[in-house]
Amino acid sequence: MNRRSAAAVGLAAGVVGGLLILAGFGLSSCGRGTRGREDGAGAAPGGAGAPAPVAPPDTEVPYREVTIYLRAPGEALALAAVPARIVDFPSPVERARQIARLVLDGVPDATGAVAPARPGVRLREALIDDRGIAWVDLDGPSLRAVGGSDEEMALVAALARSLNENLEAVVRVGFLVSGEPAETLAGHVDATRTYTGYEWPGPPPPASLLPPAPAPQAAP
Amino acid sequence: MTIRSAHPVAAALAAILLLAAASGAGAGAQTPPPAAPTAEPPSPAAPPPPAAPAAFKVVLDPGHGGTEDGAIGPTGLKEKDLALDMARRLAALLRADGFEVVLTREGDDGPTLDQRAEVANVQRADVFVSLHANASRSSKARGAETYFLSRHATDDAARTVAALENDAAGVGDDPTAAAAPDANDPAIPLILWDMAQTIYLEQSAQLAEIVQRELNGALEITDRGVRQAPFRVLVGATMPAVLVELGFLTNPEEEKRLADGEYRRKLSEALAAALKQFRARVGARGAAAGTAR
Repeated sequence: MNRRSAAAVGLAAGVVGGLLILAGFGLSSCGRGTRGREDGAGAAPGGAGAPAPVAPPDTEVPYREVTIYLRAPGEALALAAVPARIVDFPSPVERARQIARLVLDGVPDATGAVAPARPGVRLREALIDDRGIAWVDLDGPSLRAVGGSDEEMALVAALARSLNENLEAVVRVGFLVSGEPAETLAGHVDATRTYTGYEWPGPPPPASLLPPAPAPQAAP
Repeated sequence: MTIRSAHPVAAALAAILLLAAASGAGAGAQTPPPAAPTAEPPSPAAPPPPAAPAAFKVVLDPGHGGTEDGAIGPTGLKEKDLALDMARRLAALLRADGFEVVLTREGDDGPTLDQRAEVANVQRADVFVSLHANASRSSKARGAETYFLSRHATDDAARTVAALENDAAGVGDDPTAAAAPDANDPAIPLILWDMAQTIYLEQSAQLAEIVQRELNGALEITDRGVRQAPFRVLVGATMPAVLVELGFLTNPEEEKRLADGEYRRKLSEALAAALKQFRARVGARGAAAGTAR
């Protein structure tokens, strides 16, 4: 390798290294923990033989611990609280989007809790209005994968409870389908109203709801 | 026209009753009452013949339809097809026993959920039964369950009415000072629709229990019990209304059973037996004095 080609390799390595660092900077600057890199200390690419750029450690990204609700394992409809973390954006709307995506995608859980609906349900948008209603806008065609009231109830409850519990700005959760109000998400649960996420599974009804049967009339 | 009442919820419920009566009158125009008996007058010695009982009208709602398949089993059995077949089977059994039966869909079309409840209201049905099959992320989930509308749904609507009344009167929390909003307010029919099932919740709960008991007794299935949920199709029904989940299509074993004609026959017989019991308990709409109607 002559001096010219060695210089070219060094330049290329420097450019790649710089791009990697810039990419890392750009990604982490979505959060608030990257100000230490704004002095440009990480931006100077090394030449050939310089140490490889090191991604900023996780601790520099301002994560927030959250509890999301997924479908608990087992036959009965129940939600399981699962710890997770999101990037701690200042905006509750940004946090709502992350939480909703975590619920839809599921997170690894040792107990076997899974996403409430089958994979593929897509979040279009999540917004919070000035009444404290978080609006979860789901992609209509992707909801065709959801079938059965059990799955639909789990989906509504998991999203509503996860958003309600983790975001102080959220009082109730409403749903849109492809940007429009809808009767339901998948043919059962009323989507014309909003939910807290604690509506069900509710307490079981009393042992018997039936009044005593009328006594048979005596034959004349 | 305005409706004034000292209690906002009472006003709303009164309006629902008026709406129900009006829809019944409309239905009456389409469905003539049973013809008067034309038999010879009885001889004085003979006991009077029993009055012809009013036909007990059931509206059966096969869930989903059209582009909406509903749940799909591992082998491809679709909820919409199962529900329609079950509705047809049940209708045949009920008609043979003197019931009048209307289906919300006769083929593979997909009316909206509010349209389905509207069919029952216009027909002035005595009972509304929506037939479904379930799906779960757990392939082990199995068994039948019967739902009636949850109290949360109706409570929400009642609170909305109260808030509207207070807003209209420009008052705070004093309901006795509230004047009702104008009935022409476009929001009012929607809210009243949401409250329509309220006054039938107790009877709906009883019907759900009878249905679930019959399903448990006739079939060797897991009893998942009577449950409540805010199902849209039940919200606007002005009669006892339940939604029956016949089983889990996502459970391979249960899908196999639900695909079997003999099993469907047993299911439909159990449902028919439940509706006969309920008819004996409450009678047809307006035919039995002293019922909750």
